[in-house]
Amino acid sequence: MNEEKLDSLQEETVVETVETESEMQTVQEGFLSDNVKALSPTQLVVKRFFRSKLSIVGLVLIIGLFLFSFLGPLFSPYGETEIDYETDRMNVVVTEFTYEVPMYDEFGSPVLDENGEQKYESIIVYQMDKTQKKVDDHALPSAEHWLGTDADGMDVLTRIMYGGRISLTISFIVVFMEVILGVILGGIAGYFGKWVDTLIMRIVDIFNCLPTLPLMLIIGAILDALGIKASVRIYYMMAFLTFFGWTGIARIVRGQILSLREQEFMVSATARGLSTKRKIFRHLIPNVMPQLIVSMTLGLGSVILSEATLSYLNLGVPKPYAAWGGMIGDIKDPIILQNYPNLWMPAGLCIVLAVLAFNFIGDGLRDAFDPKSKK
Amino acid sequence: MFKYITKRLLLSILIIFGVSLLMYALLRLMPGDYVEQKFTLNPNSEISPERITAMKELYGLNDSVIVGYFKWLAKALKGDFGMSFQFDAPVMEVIGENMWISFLLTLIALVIYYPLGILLGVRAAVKQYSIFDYTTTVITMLGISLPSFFFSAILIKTFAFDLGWFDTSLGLVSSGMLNATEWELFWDKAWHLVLPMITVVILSIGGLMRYTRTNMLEVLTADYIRTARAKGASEMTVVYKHAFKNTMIPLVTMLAGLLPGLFGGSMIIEQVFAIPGIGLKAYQALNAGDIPFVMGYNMFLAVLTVLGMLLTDIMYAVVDPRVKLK
Repeated sequence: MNEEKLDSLQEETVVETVETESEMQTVQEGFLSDNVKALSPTQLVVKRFFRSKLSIVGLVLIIGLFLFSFLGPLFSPYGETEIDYETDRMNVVVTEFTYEVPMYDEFGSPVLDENGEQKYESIIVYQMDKTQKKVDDHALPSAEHWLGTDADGMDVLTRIMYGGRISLTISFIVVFMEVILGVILGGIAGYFGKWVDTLIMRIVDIFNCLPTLPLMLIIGAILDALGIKASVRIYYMMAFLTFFGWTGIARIVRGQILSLREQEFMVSATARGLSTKRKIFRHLIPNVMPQLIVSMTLGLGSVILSEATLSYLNLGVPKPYAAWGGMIGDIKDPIILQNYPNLWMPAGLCIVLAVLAFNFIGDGLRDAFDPKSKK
Repeated sequence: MFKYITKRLLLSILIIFGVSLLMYALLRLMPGDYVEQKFTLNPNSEISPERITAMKELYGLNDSVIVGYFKWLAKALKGDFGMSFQFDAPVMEVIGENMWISFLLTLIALVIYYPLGILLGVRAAVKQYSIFDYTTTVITMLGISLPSFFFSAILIKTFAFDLGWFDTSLGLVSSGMLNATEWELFWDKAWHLVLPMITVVILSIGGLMRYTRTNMLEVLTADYIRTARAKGASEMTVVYKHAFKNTMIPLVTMLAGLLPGLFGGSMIIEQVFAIPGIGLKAYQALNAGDIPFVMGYNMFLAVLTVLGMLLTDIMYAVVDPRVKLK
């Protein structure tokens, strides 16, 4: 049975190599007959990517979440911070009163105890006060509010959409900035080597030893102390997330460039007298791209997680603005944790789905880019 | 080897130096009178003016950033990280007292998830693209994608509130344990550590499992594995004797890198479950603006991280005879 498996595996490999070789030849020489379909390396990657079911699932999930977050609010009758004042729900307050009343038997004469004194019994009276609710808060899911309303009377579903806008936007911006910073610094370190490399890599080492979460908490306190406005606070957080997050990318880029630098095509580039800029941007960076794209995709997920954690700790997007992490932060009130799962569960699911989707896509891309990949 | 370690230790000192400088500069970014503001505004604080002066002295808040940093450094080198406002004790003492429960929690979780993750990873790699592979991949990816606070919340809601198996209202102790014997208290504590432990296991196992799987897949395509199969070794021998040994190399070295996680505690998980460990203390200190503790805690973590990195490299040379440290 094992041999069978081995055989089939090898067969697959062989077929794959033949395929690739013929494709390579087509691309390079361009005179193979028309019945051989030529695929560019990019097309090959795309083809391999879509062969994996999980990557398709991830892609669909992400597109879905994007549509939900960016188009969803257009169809929602509520705003992000709009409090719903219209409600026919009542506030019911029940008050208990205890009265001591003299006891009478069935003939109407007072009941006496052994000392000959009037016996009393206690009667409990409940008073129910119904008042019109001013704000439709803590509403359970209904046709009006599909996921209910939160403690302030804001529509949960709408807030999840806006939270998604924030999370997805932040993740893309932060990863984009991390890549720019990481590619520049990692590229410089790898290309120039010597003391430049040592200097930059020591800085990377230092950054790697910084505990991110405590640091972000300190920064949160600093932002508070400086009196940063709630609406712009998130931009500062984004800047700091980037500032602490670029080292991973820098390491990857540096490592790749160090090995690429020694290869023949770089010798040829030097021999042809290409400028440093051209060598870096036309010859080195494109070769780093596959790894870079994979770690960017995985980075998107981890930025969403960091942002959610910060918002959960009230350090990210401040209330009344919506953020997925912030909405889960409501569970610090045990009553909400226990009785109103509609307030925090959907937001949590959105985080999980988004991160999961990015991880699936990243994994799929890694396999697709890997020339050794057999699938 | 000795030369290498000396070199790395010197480098570590440099890194720690850089970390502390950066952190100090960050703290100094706070407005000058932040300390005073923070503690005079709070009517409950019992910080005397002397304490404020002492702290300003310790952090050199009256000096320039550079001078202030070296003053702080001089004290820190002697092991004096100042007094924590929040806990009213020397910082190092608070850390030393509270890290053990965090350590215990992470250690037990580690003992569970490390072998389990490796086993799942190996099985998934051997049966690549099988249903088992897909299932474990999806489940473990789910674990990686879960925010710790969200997963803890689900566990608390389901097992503590709905099913009533745990009483999480008071952290590690059940309510109404007035005349309990020590044995009962111990079991009570252990029982309360179950949910946080599950959280740590589920959140950590995914990364390890994926790592093992990738490694194993790579090893399984190596020439010597084909040789082993060709000479007729059983699949068990091929996988668990030949392939597994090489897969283990990065896994063993990774173990050393877990050092900061072991002692540093987890802020979020400890906060959600109210476990009185180092993470929770740090969280409270951060919220209260307890600068000496925060600085001390961060330095503690940084030292652990540097040590972990060093240990990883040394372990690498110990486990893999092909690696020579230079």
